[in-house]
Amino acid sequence: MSEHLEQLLEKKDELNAFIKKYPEEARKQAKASKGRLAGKTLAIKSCICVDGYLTSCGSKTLENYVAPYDATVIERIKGEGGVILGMANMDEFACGVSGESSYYGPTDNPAARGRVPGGSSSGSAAAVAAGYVDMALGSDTGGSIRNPACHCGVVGLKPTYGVVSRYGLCDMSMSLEQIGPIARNVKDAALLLDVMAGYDPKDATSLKSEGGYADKLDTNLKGKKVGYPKQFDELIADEGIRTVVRAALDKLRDAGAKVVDVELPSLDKGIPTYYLNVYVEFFSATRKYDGRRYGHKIEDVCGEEVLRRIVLGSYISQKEWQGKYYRKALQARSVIRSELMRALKDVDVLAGPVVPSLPHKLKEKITDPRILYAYDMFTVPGNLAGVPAGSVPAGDVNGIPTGLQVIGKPLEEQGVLDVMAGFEKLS
Amino acid sequence: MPHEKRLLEEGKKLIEEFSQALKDVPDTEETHYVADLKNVTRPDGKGSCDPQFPGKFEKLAPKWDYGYVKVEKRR
Repeated sequence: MSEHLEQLLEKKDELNAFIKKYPEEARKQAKASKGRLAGKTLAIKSCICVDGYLTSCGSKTLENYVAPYDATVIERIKGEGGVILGMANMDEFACGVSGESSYYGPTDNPAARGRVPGGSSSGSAAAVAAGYVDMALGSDTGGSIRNPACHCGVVGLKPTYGVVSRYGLCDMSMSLEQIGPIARNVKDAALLLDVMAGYDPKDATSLKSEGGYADKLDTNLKGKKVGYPKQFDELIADEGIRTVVRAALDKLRDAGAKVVDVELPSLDKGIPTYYLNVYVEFFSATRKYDGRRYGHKIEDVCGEEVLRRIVLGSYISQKEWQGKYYRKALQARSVIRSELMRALKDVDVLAGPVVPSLPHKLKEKITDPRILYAYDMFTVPGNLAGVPAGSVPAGDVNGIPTGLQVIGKPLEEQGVLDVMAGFEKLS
Repeated sequence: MPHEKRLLEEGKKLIEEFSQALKDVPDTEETHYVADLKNVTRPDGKGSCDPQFPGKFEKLAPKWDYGYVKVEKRR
């Protein structure tokens, strides 16, 4: 372990994947490493509290915030011998899809240099893809694990809402987000989920889950029923991605799975529903960053997208007596959720694209939020409905990786991971 | 402040676009959380506390003066 660790610590972070590394602490953890994660190195998204480590959320607001306690997921990872190398870069307060909005500078994509790695768990996915660490923690509010995993050519999973404790996660949108694993293969992602998942009395939304995902992985795809919503196909913007996704569905068919058409008629309502929810919840979540208790006052130091969400969240909250925005979005959430459940009713999983387009170039400054928000089109339904959804590498378009998204029923992480592992084996 | 004003004016258009996109959504139940929020009671027992926690927590306060946390007056 020590030789492997030293090699990893010596690697230069050319991608800006880390905000801060902790080599001495990692060496100490490695010496005492025992358990299911013994010998595994990890990067932690900078919005998850690690005792004594800078938990900045990628923002100047918290540039001096050293977490005074461990998040539940960190306690569990440390308890199983995981070695934490450092805190990964991320979009500021997880408000981004590209990894460009961090106060600590953008992260490069190791699988397609000069392009964005995706976000908001940008540094986590980049660190795994570049081989800086074995696995990483991300958080996913509208696709923030699956999107960067897809762009960087690695595996990412957003669990069912409630399966992983959010205690110690700096929240952005508390009704939507989940912590989840990013790894180079499905087995490692399943193992990390095993360690993190399980009831936690410190989180009022925590659920009891089955666990044992890694040991129970079954790669046999024969007889699996996979739904493909035709609305996915209609909304893919990049022809290359469409080709990769269709080829992936052919591979599943060839391996014995039955691919059937299903409907998600309100898929195009996902982004408005999601953002109207997020603006309000984010505004509420950031009221504690008033500069009096800790950190700087958020409005004084934050970047443009964070400020946009605060300003609009405040505006919607003031106007809400009309019930026009937030209430409507909560109703739309019910509609999308029931449509997704209906689509999942007669199949084992849904499969489709993770993103509608390839990652843009780092120097391309996109100022219209609509263009950036569009990356979330296929991932937000999973958060709005709280179901498990993962991204597994499916191929590339002119050398740029893209992924296959697999979506399952609530608490059926095993079924999602099985299909992902079965597909991974075919690649 | 001018920055916030610009974002608000631009954002109002965005919110209206989103609102328009949802105008056909029927009046139905609202989903706030997909999981039920529960009242959690912990089993009785002796509480535990990291003795170093208060010190770590105090360090996070912006400024200290004569043993008191010093903060900017409300604007």
